[in-house]
Amino acid sequence: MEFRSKRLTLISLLLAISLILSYIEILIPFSIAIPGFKVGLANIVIIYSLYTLSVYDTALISLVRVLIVSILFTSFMSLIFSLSGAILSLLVMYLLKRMNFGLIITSISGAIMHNVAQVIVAMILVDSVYMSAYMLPLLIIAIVSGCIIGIISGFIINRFKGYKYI
Amino acid sequence: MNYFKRKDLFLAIFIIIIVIIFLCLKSFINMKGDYVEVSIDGKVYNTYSLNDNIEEMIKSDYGYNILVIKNKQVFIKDADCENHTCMKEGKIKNGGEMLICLPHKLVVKIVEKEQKDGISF
Repeated sequence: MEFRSKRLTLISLLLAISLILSYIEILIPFSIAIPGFKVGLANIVIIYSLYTLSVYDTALISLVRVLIVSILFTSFMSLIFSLSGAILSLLVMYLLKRMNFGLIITSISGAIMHNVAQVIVAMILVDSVYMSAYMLPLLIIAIVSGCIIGIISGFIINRFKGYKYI
Repeated sequence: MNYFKRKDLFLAIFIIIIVIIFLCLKSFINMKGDYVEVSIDGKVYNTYSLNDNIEEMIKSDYGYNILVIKNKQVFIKDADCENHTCMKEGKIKNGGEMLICLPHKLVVKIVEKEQKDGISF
């Protein structure tokens, strides 16, 4: 009983943090005008959860976060994009973690897959292969932001390791 | 927590190869462009010459975008979409470059030839 409520509290806490991070990300105005460009701050929570909790808990946090963010801050259109990106990136990150890859390369691959999913969805929605021209800038941005997010989440995971309440 | 592991190298090389492939593709596709092709929902809406100076309102079921062609540069002046990414994308002038408005499913692309029939790719 104690264990279940502890897990529930931890998941809710992480969900709240990821929502705040998503909100901060929306508040920061970016001058680079590439559709779909984001730093992916909420990915810190997802990586932390993936490496400390189970993959089911992480999927729960990720999906509920995407739903709430689209209801609160953005539109239905961005729900399709975020959902496809979240699912594909989580899947890839989980597989790479299972295959014992390093943290930073896992984070980078997750960011890349997030963008790949979004470009594919955009190609289907606009019905045009031209969308793939955005792949290159998004790929480079994903590598840079994935690296930063990976370093930050590694730092957080190491800090909280062995913390008796988690 | 390990930041790096030995086998990361293979994946990193794989990612770098993909980036290089995309870079090559981009420079390979880079072509001349004299016409501005506007398509909505995958179908060609209209084609304009890049040498003209026009300002036209493109209306569709999704909303409107005001397309401006001036001094061989193309940009979107105004739109009623929600994020205005198409306006922030700036001006395009080279072949293969494009402006995309996702909420309106609008693609503005600089193409080499004038295309009369609406082939959707």
